[in-house]
Amino acid sequence: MAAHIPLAPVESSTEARIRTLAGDLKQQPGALLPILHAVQDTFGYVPECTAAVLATELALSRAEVHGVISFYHHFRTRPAGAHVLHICRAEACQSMGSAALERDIKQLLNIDYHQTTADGSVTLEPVYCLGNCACSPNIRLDDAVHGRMTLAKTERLLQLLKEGQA
Amino acid sequence: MNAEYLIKMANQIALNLAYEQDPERRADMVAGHIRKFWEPRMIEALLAVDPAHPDLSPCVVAVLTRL
Amino acid sequence: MIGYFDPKTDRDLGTPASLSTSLITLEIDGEQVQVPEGTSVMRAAALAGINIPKLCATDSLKSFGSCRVCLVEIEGRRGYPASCTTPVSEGMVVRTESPRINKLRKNVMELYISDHPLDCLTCPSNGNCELQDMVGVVGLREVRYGLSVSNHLHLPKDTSNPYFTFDPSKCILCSRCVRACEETQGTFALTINSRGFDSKISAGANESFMDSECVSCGACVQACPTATLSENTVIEFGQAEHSVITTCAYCGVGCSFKAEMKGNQVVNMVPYKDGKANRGHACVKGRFAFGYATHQDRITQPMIRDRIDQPWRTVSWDEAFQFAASRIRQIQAQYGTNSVGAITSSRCTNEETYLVQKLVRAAFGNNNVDTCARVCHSPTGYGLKMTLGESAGTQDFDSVEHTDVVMVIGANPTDAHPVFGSRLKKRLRQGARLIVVDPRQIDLLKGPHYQADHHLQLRPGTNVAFINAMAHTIISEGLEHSDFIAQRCDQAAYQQWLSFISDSRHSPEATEAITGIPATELRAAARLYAQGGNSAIYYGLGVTEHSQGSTMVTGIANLAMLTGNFGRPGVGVNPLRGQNNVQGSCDMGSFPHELPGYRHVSDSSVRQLFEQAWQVSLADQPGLRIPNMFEAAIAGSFKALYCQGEDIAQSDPNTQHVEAALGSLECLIVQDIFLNETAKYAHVLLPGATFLEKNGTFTNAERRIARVRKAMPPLAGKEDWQVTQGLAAALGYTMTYQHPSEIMDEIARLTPSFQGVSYARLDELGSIQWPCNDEHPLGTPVMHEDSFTIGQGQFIPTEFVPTEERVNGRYPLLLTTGRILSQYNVGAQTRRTANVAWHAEDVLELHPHDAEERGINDGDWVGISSRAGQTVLRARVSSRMQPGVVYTTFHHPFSGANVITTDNSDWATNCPEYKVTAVQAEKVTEISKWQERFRHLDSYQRQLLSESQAEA
Ligand code: SF4
Ligand code: SF4
Ligand code: SF4
Ligand code: FES
Ligand code: FES
Repeated sequence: MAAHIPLAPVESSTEARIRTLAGDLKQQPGALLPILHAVQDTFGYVPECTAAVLATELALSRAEVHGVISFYHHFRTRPAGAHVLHICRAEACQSMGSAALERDIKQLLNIDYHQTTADGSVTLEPVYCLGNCACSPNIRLDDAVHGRMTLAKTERLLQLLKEGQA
Repeated sequence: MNAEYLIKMANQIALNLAYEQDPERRADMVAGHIRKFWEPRMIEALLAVDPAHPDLSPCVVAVLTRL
Repeated sequence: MIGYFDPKTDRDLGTPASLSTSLITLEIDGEQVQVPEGTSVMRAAALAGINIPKLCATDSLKSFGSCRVCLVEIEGRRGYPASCTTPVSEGMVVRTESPRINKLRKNVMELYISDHPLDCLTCPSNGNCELQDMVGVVGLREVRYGLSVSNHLHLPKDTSNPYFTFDPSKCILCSRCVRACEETQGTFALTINSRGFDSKISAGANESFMDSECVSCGACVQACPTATLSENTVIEFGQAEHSVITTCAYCGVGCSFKAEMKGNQVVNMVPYKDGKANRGHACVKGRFAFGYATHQDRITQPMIRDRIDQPWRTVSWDEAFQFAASRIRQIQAQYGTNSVGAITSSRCTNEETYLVQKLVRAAFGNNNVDTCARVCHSPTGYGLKMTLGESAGTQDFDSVEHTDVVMVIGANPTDAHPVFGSRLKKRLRQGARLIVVDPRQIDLLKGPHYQADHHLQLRPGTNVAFINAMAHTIISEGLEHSDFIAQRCDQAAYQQWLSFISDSRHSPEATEAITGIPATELRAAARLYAQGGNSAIYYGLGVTEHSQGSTMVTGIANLAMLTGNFGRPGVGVNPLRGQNNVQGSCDMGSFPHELPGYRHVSDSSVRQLFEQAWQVSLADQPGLRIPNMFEAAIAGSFKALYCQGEDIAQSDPNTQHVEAALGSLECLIVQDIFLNETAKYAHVLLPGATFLEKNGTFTNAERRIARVRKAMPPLAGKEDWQVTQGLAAALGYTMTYQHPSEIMDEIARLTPSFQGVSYARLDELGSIQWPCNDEHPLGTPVMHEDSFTIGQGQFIPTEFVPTEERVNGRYPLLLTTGRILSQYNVGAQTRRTANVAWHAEDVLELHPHDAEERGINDGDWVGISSRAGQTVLRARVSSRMQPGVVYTTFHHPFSGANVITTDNSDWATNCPEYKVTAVQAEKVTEISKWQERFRHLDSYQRQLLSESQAEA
């Protein structure tokens, strides 16, 4: 109810762009998901104002739009870091100790899943099977899959990244 | 009571009943409305107004003789 | 005496009732049960007295089937279906208990409990927790998993809302809150954030409750089976030990409540499920804003003074009555019988209002009684009485469930009548079409899952031109309901009206220049209204508070007759009344020209009836209306006023004029719960009682008479009707009522439409919609079914006479006024509660264009002046307004919104024209002269009050 009396519409360009994206798609049934995908494709993430903008565009509440955004891990609510590190959490990797690896990497980077390190260099995401089960546990750094991972190997990879040679 | 206030009210009633085109019937209607809703001292004060008062609408002048 | 009344019928049957008429027979635990088709197995069992365990189901919400504790065995079906989502079928055989079922249920409960803090003993829901109950019912004795490392117990509480706390550590994710916010309230403020283990209830887009869309209606809190969402009063004071069913004293919806009590203390106000006006829902005012009843500002002792610049003297009730009575008699001796009068309140009960008008007529000996309804809905009385024969709305609220096209004119139901607003939105989500006629962009226009078909954004003051264009379009396009008109309406009147309305000056093309509504848009709306099925009109003060208010109400009734929209559910003409008892105060004879039941004082047979009952002779000429009282006071022929529960100094237009009138009274008696603005001019201050402190009845906007039941003793020792009775006695007119029920009996005896009403009958039926008589012993939900009260419906021509209040070079903007959800009327009550968290001050809303032209920024101080006065408010730049129109509310006295409104009024009823004032706005750096004076007077009068209290 805080936003009960709306202020003058000083619309940011982000809001305007989201509105345009919505405008193109909103006629189709179940438009919310395709629009969210378009938003993420455009911005690389789903900006915070999306819920409010799409709520008015689609006659929904902010909470409803937010519920959908937060339900799908695919939708990122902050710009990703310069690099994305995916850790596999599916069965094969789990059986080879990915849970411990997960914990260690989180500690190393001092972030949780779906978060980005303070310096903006790495975003951590879970993934479910990278199709490389034979070499479990697996991670993927940007586009490259790395098998039989340990904390030490991850540290090395990240070090290389920093030095700009990964 | 303040005559201007009552003149304004009476004129307003006449204006809003203007859809009745027959002046006699319209004056009857306005007078009827006033008798139904006005307190006696208001009617008295209106009757005390000089019928030649420039602000009185013609309909209300006709009403004065009916109250 | 405190009459406890708790029929205890509000058992939770698990899922909503089915409306089907065909019956299904099935067997549950060996019992034959017959229920309507579409009923769930859970509800069928509950009806048979078998309570199947449940967590995510509750009968106010559609079943959801997520918790799985309600599973049962059904012969011939595999597995264990959830009884809440399984509909009954013919011959079904159900078992609700077996060792296997019990084991499964235990497993489910064990999982819930393994992630739940085990602090039941100190939990606010202890004694009222469904989770605890279910654990008990399934007999869970141990939890094998212990608390796992990852649990939710550390999640922080959200205490942003002043009335309830969200403690996510106790959440079982049943989503009842989410569904309550969606289905019951229609705000959709809640969602489940994320998924799996991370799932958490979130308000808005992961915001605090206060920052989200939440309107604090409390539906989620009520739906929550655990302590996750709890009222702060319950957290602080504990669970109630008894309850009293009563009626909300705020708006005209008249929600039924269970006041949950601990001794004399209200610990919770819970909307009552069997209340027919609200069906178990409420809004932030009735649900939470009751703290004013025990606010330290309450006046607790009678006080008197000779002059208004003197300190108050605290006296006994008797002394106060004697003082007041002798002054009144003295004034009458000096200035004549007609120099005194009274104002009844639309917030007091029917019985109290009835007594005040009786006091005026019988003890004062004149008809100088009016009510605050004068300033809001008097045109409704006039317009509907002239056309239909009865001064009241035609439908009940349930009617909206059958409506296909809703036309809302000059009303803002989501703010002013929130519970009806929610019911309306529910119907809109089901697909009903919506036409909004309002100068402002109101919230109702667009909401989750619906959108208005037409917003006719007319210029303030042009309603009649609009309604004429609607009727003209319907006639010119041949969309009228000829059969209805032929059978139900007076033909001569219709013909006269027809020739009036057919004139091309009423065509939408011709009126476009006046109203600003594009002709094509208006034609489309007219077609929709005439052809869309059941069409209903709901209107508010945006219709009545104009110089043509009565004409507009008449035009609305014409339009509904023209299209045959009377006499069945789903249609009709529905005034949304502002205050809780506007309907009732009008019914009770509060108008100076009418005795109770809307019968003119000149009717000698009616007068005789009352003369016999009251043992006096009655004046046969109308008395003064409120604005006339002010004029007469200034002119010196009106000298004393008894004003019950009404703050005319703040609520009436042209404040400085009102202040001058009040200042010239020789005796002003104010009966109120606080030192209101009017009391600052008073000589006698009689403490009033809140609705929690008295017995009586209120009549809501749908003519529903409902009981107000005393939950605690009156703070100052007397209920308001006792005060009036005491004053009457001092005047030498004795009334001997022992209880308000006796007053109601007298009303029933003297008023045909109330003939069948009594307290016993009200207890039996819950509430009654008048007329209630031999013909309609259960009351009348829908009026004018076979014929109009007046007989043949009367079409009356509605000439558009523009207001004299026009913009010009000096005052180029139009000011219109309204209200908001969290505050009520002059705010005397709501300002004394935590509702100020939402609306701490009145602001002036203006369009960005107008703001820019004047160099005004959001938050600046702006001076608003009209020909009546000047005041200063903070600016809120908002595109809800059209350019050229500004808007404010009048909930705070210091804002002085009524300093600028003028004394223009409705031609027929003198209802003030609050909705149109020509003003100028400009940036200023200091408060206005009036505000300075106000501040001064305010602190001076407060000082006089505290001096008296120090003395006492
Ligand atoms: S209080 Fe009402 S509006 Fe707020 S979240 Fe709960 S149900 Fe929704
Ligand atoms: S807050 Fe209450 S109603 Fe909402 S999901 Fe949690 S336990 Fe259920
Ligand atoms: S203020 Fe009106 S809507 Fe709110 S609870 Fe009271 S009667 Fe109901
Ligand atoms: S399970 Fe990790 S790569 Fe397949
Ligand atoms: S009560 Fe039936 S599944 Fe929850």
